[in-house]
Amino acid sequence: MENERTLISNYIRESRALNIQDQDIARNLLSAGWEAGILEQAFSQFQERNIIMAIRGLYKEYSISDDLVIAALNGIAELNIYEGEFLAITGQSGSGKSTLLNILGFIDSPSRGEIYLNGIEVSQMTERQKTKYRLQTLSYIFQFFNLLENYTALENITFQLKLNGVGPFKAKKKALEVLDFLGLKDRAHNYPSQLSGGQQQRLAIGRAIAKEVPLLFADEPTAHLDTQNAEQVMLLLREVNARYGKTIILVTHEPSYARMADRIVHLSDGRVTQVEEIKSTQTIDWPQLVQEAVLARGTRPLDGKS
Amino acid sequence: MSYAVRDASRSRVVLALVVISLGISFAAVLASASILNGFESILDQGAINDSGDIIIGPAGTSTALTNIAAITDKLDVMPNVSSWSIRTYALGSIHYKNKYINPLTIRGIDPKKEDETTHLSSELVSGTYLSDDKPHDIILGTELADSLVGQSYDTKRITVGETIDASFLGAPYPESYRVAGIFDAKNFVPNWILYLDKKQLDIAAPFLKDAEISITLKDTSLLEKTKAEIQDAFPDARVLTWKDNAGYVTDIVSVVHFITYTINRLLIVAVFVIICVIIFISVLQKRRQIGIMKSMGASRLFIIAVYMFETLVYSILAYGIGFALFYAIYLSSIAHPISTLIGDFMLVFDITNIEQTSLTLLIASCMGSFVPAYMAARTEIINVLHE
Repeated sequence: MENERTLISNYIRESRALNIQDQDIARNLLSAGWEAGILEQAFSQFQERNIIMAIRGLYKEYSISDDLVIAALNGIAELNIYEGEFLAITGQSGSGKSTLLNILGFIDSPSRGEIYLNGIEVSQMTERQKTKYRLQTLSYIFQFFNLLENYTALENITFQLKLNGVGPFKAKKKALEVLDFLGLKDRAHNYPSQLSGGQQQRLAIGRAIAKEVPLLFADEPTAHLDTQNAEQVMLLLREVNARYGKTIILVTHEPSYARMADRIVHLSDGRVTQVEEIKSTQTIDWPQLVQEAVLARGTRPLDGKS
Repeated sequence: MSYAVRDASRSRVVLALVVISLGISFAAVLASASILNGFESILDQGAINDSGDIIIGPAGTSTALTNIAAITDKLDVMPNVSSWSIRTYALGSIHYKNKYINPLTIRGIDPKKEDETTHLSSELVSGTYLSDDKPHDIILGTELADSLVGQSYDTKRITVGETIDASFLGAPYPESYRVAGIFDAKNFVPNWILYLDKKQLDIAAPFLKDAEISITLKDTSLLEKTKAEIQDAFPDARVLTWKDNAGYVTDIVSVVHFITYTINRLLIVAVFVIICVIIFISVLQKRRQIGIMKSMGASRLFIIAVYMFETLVYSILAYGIGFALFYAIYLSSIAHPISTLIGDFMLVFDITNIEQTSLTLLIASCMGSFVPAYMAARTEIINVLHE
């Protein structure tokens, strides 16, 4: 029974990574002979919404002179980030989206306000605590890739893993698996300067996912890529979110990429102006699907409910 | 560690320049410490060559040791005494052609016993040593021999076999003596002394007969202990070590020590500054890389460790070069010692000194790298990632 659930969960996760709608995934599973009751349970775990990060009354102000203060974040009253979701933060240049991401990623500190990570208030942590969170809780993907120039693709990932306490042999094995997943295995011994922009960004994503942390922050990861590479990177992020269940917080000014997320947070002048649900509203019409399956098979309902 | 090695070896030209400059500094620090040891060595050896390890003289206002036989009998049974030589002193003057030197210290010795104690015969640069059967033979120090002909230090000397007239304070008339040999004790005090057979001087001028006993020890590390034993055995005598006797050596060594110590410490400060500058430049060049590492979760301690290890890489390579350079200079100084009035100067290869200097340099290097490494560790990620 447990094996069946795992099998179904993996199928749902991978199908979602391919941007297949839940309705179609359920249809496929029913037609393959799975019972609707088991499938409903499996889908429900994907629709639970545990808050991983929460923001309350967040401000970030820069003092230019004694009487001039510029607010990058002008009071984000309330924003919840859910476990496993793909959240896009979008807005005009200067709207505060990167500032928000940097604060959430412990790269910058807020002037005021509260940030909760798994229910713990973390906005006023010491540098040592921030370092610990950066190491154990989150990964960062930057628009300028920010790879270690003196290290090969393989070493960029193993370095991260070693920082996280993984032994050298395990780290190498894992890094090769990740490079294989990224389609960069044949570039394992190339230095970043020998890779294209798209490959470098994929490597940066690889470094981030190898770390096995729940949160992944991506700051305009497609900003310096051509359209084809940008789309590949976005699909990769989508796949990482679905396959590994990582919570991804993406900053982008490209609306089409933002729409690949589950939700979009629109920022303007340092404030949240709109939170747009994209995919979490997916519902599955089980009675209809079961009926379809019955008709297709010409037999009785699979779970006896319909 | 691997990051530090990778980082250090990234620019080989810079690495080579850094290591060579540090290596030269290391060599200079090692050499300056060895120069002091070299000076100490020749001054010490010159003093020991003249006086032996320990000198027994009369205490108070006495001018001669009494009951000399009792003293030498006891010395013969002391376990750490290797040999001894009784000396008689006289003040006098010598006359050779148109040169007249007065006053002059004259030392009467038992040729055999003195040679066992101070190896005087090995210091001869011309002629032969004194012998019991030629009471009118004398030997002169090089400075004295030089002063009897032409100008001082013009290398012209009285030659072996020539005769001089000498008169001693308290002696009724001058006597003629043949110059049997000329010695160079590598010490300006004995090089101004005239030596002759003690028996002859005891007869001619008994005023300062048995003025001192020079003693050579088997184990010089027991110098102070043996001195105390001798002093206990002869409470009426004045017992001095060669260091006590040659106060001028301590003075000169103090001056040389001050100079070399100052140079040595300045060089160590230079090493500190060089390391500081190198790591500081390295940090400036790699602010973004440091930011990346911190964003990946690297702690401040990790960043500091990277730069400390980088310094260690520089230092180990520089030590190798510095030591090789120093050793080459040392070998050269051994092969071509600088001849001076006080001896042949050469560097001293002292393991303890090298260990201490290396440790000091390592500490200076680490301290030099710590400041910029600490600054690197405090790099704000937000400030460098978009550079």
